[in-house]
Amino acid sequence: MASTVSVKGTQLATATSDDGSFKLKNVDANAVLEITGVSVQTAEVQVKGRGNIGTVITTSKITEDKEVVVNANTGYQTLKPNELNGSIAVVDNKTLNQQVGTNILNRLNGVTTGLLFSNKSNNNPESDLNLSIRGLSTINGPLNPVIVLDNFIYEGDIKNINPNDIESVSILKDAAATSIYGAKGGNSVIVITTKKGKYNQPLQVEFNSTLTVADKPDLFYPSQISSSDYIEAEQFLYKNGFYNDQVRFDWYYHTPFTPALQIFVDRNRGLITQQDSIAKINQLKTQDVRNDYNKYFYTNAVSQQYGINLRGGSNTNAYTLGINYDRNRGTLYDRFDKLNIHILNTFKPVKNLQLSVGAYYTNSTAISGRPSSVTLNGKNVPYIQLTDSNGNPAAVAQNYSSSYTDTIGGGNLLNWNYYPLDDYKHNQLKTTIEEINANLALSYKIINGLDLDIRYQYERQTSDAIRNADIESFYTRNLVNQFSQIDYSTGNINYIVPANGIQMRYNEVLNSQNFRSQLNFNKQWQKNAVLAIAGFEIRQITNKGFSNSVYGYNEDPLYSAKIDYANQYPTLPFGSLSNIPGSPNLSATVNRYVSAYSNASYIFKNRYSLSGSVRKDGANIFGVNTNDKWKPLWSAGAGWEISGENFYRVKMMPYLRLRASYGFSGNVDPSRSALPIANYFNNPTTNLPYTRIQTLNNPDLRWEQSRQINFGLDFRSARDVISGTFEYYLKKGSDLYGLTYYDYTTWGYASQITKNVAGMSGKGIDLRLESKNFDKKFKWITDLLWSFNKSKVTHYYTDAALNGSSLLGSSGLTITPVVGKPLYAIAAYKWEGLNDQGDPQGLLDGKKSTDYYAMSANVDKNGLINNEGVVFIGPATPVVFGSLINTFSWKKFSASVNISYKLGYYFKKSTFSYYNLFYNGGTTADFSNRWQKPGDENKTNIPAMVYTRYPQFSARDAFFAASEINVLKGDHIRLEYINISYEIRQHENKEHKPGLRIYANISNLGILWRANKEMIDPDFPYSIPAPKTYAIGLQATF
Amino acid sequence: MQTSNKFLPLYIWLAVIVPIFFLSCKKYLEKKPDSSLTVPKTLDELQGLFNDAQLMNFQVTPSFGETSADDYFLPQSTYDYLPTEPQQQYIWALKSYKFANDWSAGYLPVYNSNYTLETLKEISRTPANQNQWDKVKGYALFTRAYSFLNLSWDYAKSYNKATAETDLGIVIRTTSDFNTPSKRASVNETYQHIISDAEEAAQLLPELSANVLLPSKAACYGLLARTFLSMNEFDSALKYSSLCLDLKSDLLDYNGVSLDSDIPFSNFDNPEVIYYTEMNTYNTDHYPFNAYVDSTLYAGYDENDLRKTGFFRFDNGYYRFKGAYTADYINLFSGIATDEMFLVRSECYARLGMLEKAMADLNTLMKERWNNNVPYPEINETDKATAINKILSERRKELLLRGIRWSDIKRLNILGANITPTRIINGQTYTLPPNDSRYALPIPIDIITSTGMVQN
Repeated sequence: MASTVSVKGTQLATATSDDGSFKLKNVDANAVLEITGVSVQTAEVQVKGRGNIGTVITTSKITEDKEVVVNANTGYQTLKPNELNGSIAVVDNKTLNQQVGTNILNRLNGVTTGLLFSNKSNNNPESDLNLSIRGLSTINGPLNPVIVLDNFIYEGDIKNINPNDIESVSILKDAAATSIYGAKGGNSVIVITTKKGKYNQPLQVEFNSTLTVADKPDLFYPSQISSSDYIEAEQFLYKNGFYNDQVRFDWYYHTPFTPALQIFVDRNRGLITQQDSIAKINQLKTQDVRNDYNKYFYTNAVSQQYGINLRGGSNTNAYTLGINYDRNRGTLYDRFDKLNIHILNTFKPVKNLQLSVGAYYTNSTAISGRPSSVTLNGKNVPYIQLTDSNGNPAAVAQNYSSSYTDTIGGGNLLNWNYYPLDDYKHNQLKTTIEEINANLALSYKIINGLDLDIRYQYERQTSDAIRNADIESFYTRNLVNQFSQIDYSTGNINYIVPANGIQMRYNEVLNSQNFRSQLNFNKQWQKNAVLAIAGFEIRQITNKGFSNSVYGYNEDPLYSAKIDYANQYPTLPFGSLSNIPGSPNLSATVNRYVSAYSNASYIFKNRYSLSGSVRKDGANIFGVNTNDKWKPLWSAGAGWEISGENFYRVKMMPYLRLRASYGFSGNVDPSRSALPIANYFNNPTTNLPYTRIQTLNNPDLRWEQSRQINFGLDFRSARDVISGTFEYYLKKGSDLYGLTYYDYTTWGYASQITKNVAGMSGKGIDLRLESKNFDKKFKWITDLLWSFNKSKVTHYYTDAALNGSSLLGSSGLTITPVVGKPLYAIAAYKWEGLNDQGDPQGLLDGKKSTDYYAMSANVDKNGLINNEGVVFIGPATPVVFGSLINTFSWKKFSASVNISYKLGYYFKKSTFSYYNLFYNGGTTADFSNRWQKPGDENKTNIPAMVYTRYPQFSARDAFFAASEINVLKGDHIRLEYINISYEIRQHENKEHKPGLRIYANISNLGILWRANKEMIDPDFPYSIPAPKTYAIGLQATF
Repeated sequence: MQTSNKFLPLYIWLAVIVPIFFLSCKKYLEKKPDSSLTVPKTLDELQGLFNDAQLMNFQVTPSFGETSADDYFLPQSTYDYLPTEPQQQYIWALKSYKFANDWSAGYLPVYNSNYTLETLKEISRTPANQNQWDKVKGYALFTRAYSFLNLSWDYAKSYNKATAETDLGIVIRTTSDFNTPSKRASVNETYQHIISDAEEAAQLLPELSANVLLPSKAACYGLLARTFLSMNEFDSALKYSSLCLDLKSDLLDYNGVSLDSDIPFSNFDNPEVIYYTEMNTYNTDHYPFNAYVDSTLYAGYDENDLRKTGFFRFDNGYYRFKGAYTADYINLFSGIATDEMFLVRSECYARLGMLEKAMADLNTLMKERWNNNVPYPEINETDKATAINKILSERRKELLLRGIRWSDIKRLNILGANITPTRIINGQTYTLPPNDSRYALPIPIDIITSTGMVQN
């Protein structure tokens, strides 16, 4: 990095060359030279008459990072802001450290535009990060952005990366930035850059420690039917004969009774008196199992983070050593401990050659904790008791009723009860992840301005999950009992499953290898500058899985038993034949990519810049036709620093730069195949093996394509009072995977197949404004992040996608493609209130209707458009979102407050359902507001309770659940975190003065305002919101 | 600069290595992404495609033609109970219908053939595997030709030498890649393709196959005989029916069959069956649970003709068919059998003026159908036209509801037979005059939409 050397008190100055050397003539012998630069601390050197002043060591600026220009790392090259025509946001170290979470991605929440964390669900394992950048670019493809660690795509578990090792994160948003990732970059790219030592830097040691404590989760947040209401419903069902079959055929089904049902039955059989029955029922009505959960299962989560990082370098060597250790206890007493070691060594063995060797090592152990809830044979019964009257662990019936489990086998079987309070001690899952990410890089300067970079990365992550269910665990006892063969004459038991512990193992090995060879060209002459790279890459990712179970397992002395997986054995209670579960299972996948790419930019007069990139990928998951074709993904961009022009005279705004870009990137689903996929069977007629192709080959299968146009404006007012970036973008996804009707002349097996036919479009604005409200001793800086994003499906070819019926009753949590509508959207039945019978009413043929089948058929047939019976409500993801960060500092104190907002969308609340109540146990507390007598329809919207034989019972429930009254506006404002820090001592490397900073952070402070009146957190409509966390920590540098 | 010269060759070396590297990419990228995915690649796996009787033999061949033909009728009460599509089919008025139909069922085996033929190109034929290799290729070619012929009976005009070059045939699909668009071939191209596939298959297949669910040389000859007969090319039809009967000429003596049974005939072990297929059940007007056999047709059986009891059961005033070689109530046989071959050869002899031979073949078959307690009255027609009519009449009586009648009406009307199927429903009479454009049945509307092909 070039610095400026000037003679203090004169106009005499020069710039240093790349290697830092400089010449100055006519310097006074007593002069003082001042060395300044954007990334170095200003240094002064007294000339003292010397002709050669030797080596001056300057220190990197790290503390006053607002002044530091943070370069964007694309994973392929590092770019200065004026070299960027695309959209790249950089989150620097200081911002990353405002939050204290152990997951690096979570620290990006609320500090950058366009990035949104969601609560959506998706089956695709490539979508598990649950975050999107600038909305979506795909319908059925993976949603995860590409995560790059330093130079290569990171395939391991994101939790492995320790935030303390991270220097900065670059978020590549538009196609000009991501098209260098070719077929993978469509969902944007997050480049994580680790801390690295630099040449000529004295040893710097950073020590960091944080302690975080979280509140207990609020179990009473989700709406839940009260115990007395639940029992009332059970009583109603009992009287109507709902349980008759279960009771009468208990000797055959052995389905467990709930405690209340048991009391009703006992009373009916005359086994208990009426007073007893009433007393027992009343006792149950006072029970709430959530109190027991709170008492026995939940705790305050505690997280401890320790880290030390050593960095430094000489003339020819730069080194980094980071060691981090985290200890976490979760809300359910689950444990997660992690050790990270980061080593990087870069040296210059000979002139023009730089070698770098590094490794990132992770070792983590997770141990399961206590259950989050207990069900009675799969039913959520609100009054379950976890302890008996003496306070001992109580049994909660699981698969079979106790009348069966207590008597079968005449006392010879193992205890068949499930004790939730005890069971977790005997059934524990321990997951160990070990990862090594090793790098080798060689950089050779061929001639001035032309470098050859060769890099290789080897990544291996092994994940070993071991579940030990000892003989005391319900899992093991249940399995042993099921497979027990009882000789009733002798009382002997023949154990098919040994009556001993069971160990279940799931092992997964991920291996990725990357090789890259790249030429970097960098030349400046007169007013021109050219920056170019070109290279090729090979990547291979393999995944191997193995699972099996060890029976008769005993740890010390170690032994196990042999088991017969091959044959089927009769099982209790029904005698059905079954295999012993857990036979060895293997899986293996290989993904291979071959790519060539190039990227060049030309800058004229430091004001005009033109850039372009091109990349071609081949992959073994693409069809042959795709791999054979030369159809590259490309981008182009231009930038213009208007403020550099002579005609530009706006003093208020001394910096103004315009940029525009256009380009394409791709998205790949590694689980798809271009090959025909067959299954093998045996033909019972001929007894010959036969092959049936069940997925059609598609030699044209290719990546999904995402086009993005981006316009950007960067500005800074005088004295940097206001600065910011405004960006407007248009997205278009084409060739997206989608179901479509096709010409089945080829293959008459199905009329629809998935191919590259679907399309979507999106547009949005990202605005970031930074305002220095006060910049004296007291500083107040406000950052406003404002993002707008809208998307819609443009091409999809199934009937449901064309008429929109699939949106009806959608929870908005999954992508439901409907042409012309947002990817996540909600539609609902028109609500016409309850009738005088307490039945919900919709609209059919212009009249109020309770014909739920007909209303459903009407939507299937006529769709959403011009259909008075349905309303399209709107998008289910925020259209406008962002945050407001206020940072105050005074002397050594600083504090920041982050308030986030999400606006312009809807969510569906957890809806009351009789079906759930009757068949699955719990439902919402709305039960108490239900219609009970004529006239109630004027006060409530909750339908009357009807027995399941009621006509259209389940359709009535489904209609209610999908009606507009259950859809609420999602808009809300949330206080995300407050961060306070106190700089006891500022670190100044030059003088080897240690620095010390202490800080505190409170996160998840809750909602400040919400549009819905029902006090529902729209981010957590169905689950418990993340509890508040409190953290304190210290950071020392010396 | 001095040191860099030493390394400059590295750069050149890279420039050489990069292109080589990309050439070898193709191989690198051929690796199967998921080891648990099974992509049929070996001869055994390809053979397995043809062992899949569920898709290749059972309920596959077209039934729209049979439902449009005249061997049956629907009483008003049954008609009223039917959904709209079958009602329209009954009076030849159906214009638009969608997936799961003759087209999809008929082209599904073609996919297996095409995929097999493409994959075979990657398996070298060696002395060790040539036996199996030839068989698999033969299966593929036969299956494709067989499916094409059945489809063209439905969807193409009957072969008429004068206009065959321009008449629209069916789609001759020869690739498993659905990205290749479907186009309709001419009737002539359609038939030429069927003939060349079947002739090549005949060179590759064993004379008879291990089971009748798999094609054989006899099946190929049978298919060629059918093909040429439906083209009214009697020389070739004669040649191939003879070749077929040379390989297999067993007939089932109906005297040994328990004709009173509800299911009189067996399927795979029926000695007459050369290649076994069933009609699909997408078109059901003609199925015995709906349809009664045409009364005139039923009246045409002699009292001593065992088919009169073996093929029909009395139900509520009329007769329902029960004579399928499928060993069940529902499915109808559409495969190739020796009885059909005797009738083809007999007709060809007669058409070519060899009346004695024609009568000999007819009598050979009819003897097996005659009650052996009664002396068999030898048929001995000496007038060519009468002989042909006699043979055609026996043909219809023998091969009813076997997926053949529709094609017979079409080809015989080309020769001027003037057969006019007639329906009476709701007191109204509907007819289908000879050579009406509706003899080429409508192609599914979703196929028309997705391909832009010309509708019939």
